[in-house]
Amino acid sequence: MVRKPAPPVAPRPLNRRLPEPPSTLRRGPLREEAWRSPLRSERTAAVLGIWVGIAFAICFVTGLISHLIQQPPSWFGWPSRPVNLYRITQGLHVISGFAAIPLLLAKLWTVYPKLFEWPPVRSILHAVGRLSLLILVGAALFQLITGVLNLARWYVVMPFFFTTTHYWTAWIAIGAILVHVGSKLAIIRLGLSAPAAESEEQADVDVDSPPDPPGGLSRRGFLTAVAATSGVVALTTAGQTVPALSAITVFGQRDPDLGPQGLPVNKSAIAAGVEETAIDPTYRLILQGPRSNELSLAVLRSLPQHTVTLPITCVEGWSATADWTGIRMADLLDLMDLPADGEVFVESLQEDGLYRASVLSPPHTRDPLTLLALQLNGENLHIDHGYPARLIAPNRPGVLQTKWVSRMTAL
Amino acid sequence: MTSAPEAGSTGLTLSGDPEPAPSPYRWAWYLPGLVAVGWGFYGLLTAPMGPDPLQWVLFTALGVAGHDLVLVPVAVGVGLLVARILPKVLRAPAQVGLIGTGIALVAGFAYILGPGVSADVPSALPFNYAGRVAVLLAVLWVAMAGWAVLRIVRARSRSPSRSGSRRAGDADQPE
Repeated sequence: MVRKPAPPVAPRPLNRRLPEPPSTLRRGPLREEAWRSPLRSERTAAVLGIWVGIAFAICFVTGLISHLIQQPPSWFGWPSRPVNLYRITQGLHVISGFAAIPLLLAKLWTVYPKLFEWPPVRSILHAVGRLSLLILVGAALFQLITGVLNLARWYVVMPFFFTTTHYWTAWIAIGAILVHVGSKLAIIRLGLSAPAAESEEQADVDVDSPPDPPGGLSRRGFLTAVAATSGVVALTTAGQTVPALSAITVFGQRDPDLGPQGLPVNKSAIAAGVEETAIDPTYRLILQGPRSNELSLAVLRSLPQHTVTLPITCVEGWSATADWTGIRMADLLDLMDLPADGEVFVESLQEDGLYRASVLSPPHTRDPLTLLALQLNGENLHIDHGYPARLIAPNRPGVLQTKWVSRMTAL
Repeated sequence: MTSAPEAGSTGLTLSGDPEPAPSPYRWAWYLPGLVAVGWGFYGLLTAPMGPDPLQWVLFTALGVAGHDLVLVPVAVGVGLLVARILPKVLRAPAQVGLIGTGIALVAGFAYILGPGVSADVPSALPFNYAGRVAVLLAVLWVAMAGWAVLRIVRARSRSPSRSGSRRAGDADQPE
C-alpha cells in the first residue's frame, strides 16, 4: 500500500512569507556578498555568545545581591560573615561588567551582517524576532554604557537615576538573553558541534574558501584575541578590589590606599553639607528606644572601645581594609534596652540624600564586629570618613555604613 | 550557499545555510526570559525613582545607533584597510593590536575625558587615566611588534628556495 503524501500545510498567518522588496534595493551592505570576513561563523557567534552570557549572568546575580541587600524584601537575609563576601560579589560585578565589553562588542561584530539580511522582513514573526533583538542589543549596551559612565562618575549624561534604571534594565537584558538563547538553541548547537576553527596556517593558505583577503587572524586566533583582551580589561579593573593589582589599574575608579587616612572616600563632608554640624562641640548621639539617651562625644569615648579590621566596600566595586575603633553596636543597643532581634534606624547629620540613613538588622546588629566607629587606623575619623561617629559593619555595602551618625532609633 | 527556502520563518545562518528547525526546548528559555523582560519594563515604568520612559528609550536608541552606525562601521573600515594595505604577515598582529586599542578606548574614554573628577573628592578617579591607557597600548603594540617580527622570521624560513612554493604569510607576497 502506497501512502499518499500529506497535503502541504499552509503557513500560519504570522509566519506567512511577506512580499520581498525589489531586488534593486539590495545594494551596499544588503548585497549577498557584502560581508565576507571568514572570522564570522556560527561557531564564533556561539562561543562568544556563551562568554557574553556568563559575564552578564555574573553581573546580574551580583547586582541582584547588591540590590537585595540595600532594599531587602521580607524573605531576604544577608549574613554578616564572611566579612569579605560583599567585597567579592560587588568586585566581581564591576570586573565582569568591564570584561563583558570586549565580549559583547565582538559578539555583535560577528553577527553584524544579520542586521542587513535580505529580505529585511520575511514574515510578521520574523519582524517580531528582529524587534526583540533590538531590545536585547539595546538593553545589553545600555547596561555596559551606564556602568562605565557610573564608574567614571559621569552622571550628567544620564538623564535618570542610575541605580534604579540600571537595576531594572538588568532584568530586561538578562531576560532578552534568555529569549535569544531559546530562539537560537538549534543554531548554537550547530555552531558548537562544528569542527574547531582552523589553524592560523590553514587560514593563511586557504585562499579559496574565505572570501576575505587571507593572512589575518584565524577564527581561533580571533576568539583568543577577544578572550585575552577581556582578561586584560578584567585584570586592569580589578586593582580597585584586589590590592595586589592596584599598580596596574587602568579602568578602576580608586586606589584602595589613596584618600584621607589612607582610605578612599565616596561622599565628602562638603557634598553631604555637614562640614559645620559634624564638628559642632555640642554634638550628641541621640538614642531612641525602650530607653532613650543622649551621649556626647566625650561619653562615647569613655565607653569600652574595640578595634576591628574590616573592609569598606563601595557599590562601585572598590574596597579597602582598615582598622576601626569604637563602641560595639551591641553595647549601644543594650543601653537602649533593645531586644536581641531588634532593628535600629541609623541616621546621619546629613539632612538630605538617599543614603543619609540605613536600617541595621540582625545578624549585623549584634555581630561583635559591628561598631559605631570613632577612629580609623588609630586616629579620630577624618571628617570625610564620618567624624565624629560612623557605622561600620561586616559584609555590608558602603552606602549603608552611615557616616556622621547623629541618631539611632529602635524599630 | 543554499538558496533561501520558501517558509517564511526560515532564514540563513552566518554561513549562508538554511537555519535549522527551532529547538523543542526553546520555551524553557522563552518563559523565564519573557517574565524577566516583562518584570524589567514593569519596574522601569513603576519604580519610585524610575526613569522617564521617553528618556530611557532615547538613551537606549542612542546607544544602539552609536554602536551600529558609528562603532562597527569604523571597525569594519579599519579592518578593510588592514586587509588591503598591510602585507599578510603583519595582518594578525595588527588586528590584535587594533582590537585591544579599540577596546581600551571604549572602556577608558569616560575616564580619559575625566568629567567626573571632583576637587571635592580627590580620592575618586585619582589616576592619570590617559597616561595609563597609553602605557597599556604601548605594551600591547610592543608585544604585537615582537609577534610581527617572529612571523616575518618564520615566513622567511619558509622561503620558496626551501619549501619549493610560495606560502601565504610571506611578507613580500603581493596581494
